Amino acid sequence: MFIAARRIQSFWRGYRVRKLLHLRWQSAIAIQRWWRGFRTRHILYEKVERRLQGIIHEHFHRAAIRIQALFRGWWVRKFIHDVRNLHRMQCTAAEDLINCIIHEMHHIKKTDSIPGVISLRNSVCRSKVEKLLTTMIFRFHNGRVLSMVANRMSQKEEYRRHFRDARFVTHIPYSGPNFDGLCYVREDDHIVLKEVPTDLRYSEIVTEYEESQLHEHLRETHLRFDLRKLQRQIDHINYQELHLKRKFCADVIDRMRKWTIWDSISANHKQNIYESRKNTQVFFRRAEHLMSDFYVSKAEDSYHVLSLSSST
Amino acid sequence: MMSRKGNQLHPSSIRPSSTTPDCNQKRRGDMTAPPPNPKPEKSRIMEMHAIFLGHDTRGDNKISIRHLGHCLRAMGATPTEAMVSKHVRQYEASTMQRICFDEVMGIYSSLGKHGGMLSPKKKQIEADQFVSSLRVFDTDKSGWIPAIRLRRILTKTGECMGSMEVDELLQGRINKDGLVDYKKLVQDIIYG
Repeated sequence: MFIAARRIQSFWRGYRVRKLLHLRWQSAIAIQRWWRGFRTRHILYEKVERRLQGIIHEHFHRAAIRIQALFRGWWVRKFIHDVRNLHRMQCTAAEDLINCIIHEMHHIKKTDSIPGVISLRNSVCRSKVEKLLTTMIFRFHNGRVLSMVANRMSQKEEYRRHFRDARFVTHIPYSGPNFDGLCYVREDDHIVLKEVPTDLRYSEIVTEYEESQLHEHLRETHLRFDLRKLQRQIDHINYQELHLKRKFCADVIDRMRKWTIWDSISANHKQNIYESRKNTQVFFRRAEHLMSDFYVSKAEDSYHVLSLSSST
Repeated sequence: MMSRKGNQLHPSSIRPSSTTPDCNQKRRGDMTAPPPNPKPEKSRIMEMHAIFLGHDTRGDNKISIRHLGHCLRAMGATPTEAMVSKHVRQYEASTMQRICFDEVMGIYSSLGKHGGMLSPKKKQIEADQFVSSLRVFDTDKSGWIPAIRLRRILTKTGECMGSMEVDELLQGRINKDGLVDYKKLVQDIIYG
């Protein structure tokens, strides 16, 4: 009976202690559960606020970085390494160098100093120097085109001003339409190139240069040249006619001077005949007196004397 | 008495024996009880979805499995670490590292009395249970617990908390005598 009582007591004591500990454990878990929930919900807003602030800060940081990058690039390009200016200087130097080379090659070609400068006679391939010279020609062509355009514009402006003034004033007399230029036929032979270069980059330049030779200005130049030639011929004819007249009188006087009747007269009269009109009249009057005397003395020369007197 | 208590506190055989009744109770509840929580309103779901997206740090509308506890608590639940660990262990076993909102919502609904926004009546009941839990450690029934004892209890027994957490819990609630008014503490936690 004592053993049974002791066993019952020990079981009861153990049960009581185990129940107490379990209750405490459950209580602790409940406390922790509630606190964790409360803490998480309380921290959530702070966390969200901190994250939002971080995002905003990151946004402004990124914008500032972009602005700084743009400024740094602008500053370097403007003050330290001006690429555009360097490029312009480089191109200008290259152009000047090429122009110097072309000038020198042109000079050498004129003086025939270098045998390899000129290309072969019947070949279609141009040497490098020939190509550079073609570029040189185009350079002159460019300037020539500019001057041509300027002249054309000024001429148009003059025509427009003339047309504007024609409302009040008209040129008199009217010179009439210009028929000389209507039937002008263009010579097509000049357009055809005898040898077309293989390099197509220069063929256009050469063709344009050839066509520029057939411009209206050149046509007018040709017409002016023809007119000048015609005028020269007309002047020559007029001069020859005038020359013939003077020769006839001189011839007549020379023949009269050879007559035998002048032997008795002194030589002074002979030299002064041509100087003035009075001397000539004096000469003819003296000749008349002599012939009248000579007419009576010689009868076989009557025909000759009459013809001479009638002619004078 | 004290020696017997000290001997009985440390053995690990008590915990597995104590977890068994929870499993039994849960199974009975699953078999017999109706669904514990009705479905929340749409606005509440939208709010919880917003909180869920707040925990999404990758942008793929999913959260990491390790942040499940934080997310559930932020959505208004107060689960135990055992529940959270159970779900986490299940998902890790199936090699799922990230879960979507539907799954989190399912877990939230299955928390029973530990989850959901409480009505004032239920809040009062929970507060009373909370107070009774704290009263277990109030041996002289005076309404005050020494801070040292409370710290040791929360860091050594149950689902252990860290020192930082306990410091944060007890911050501003210890008077000059080193005592804590646990009724006021319960009021702050439940209704705050």
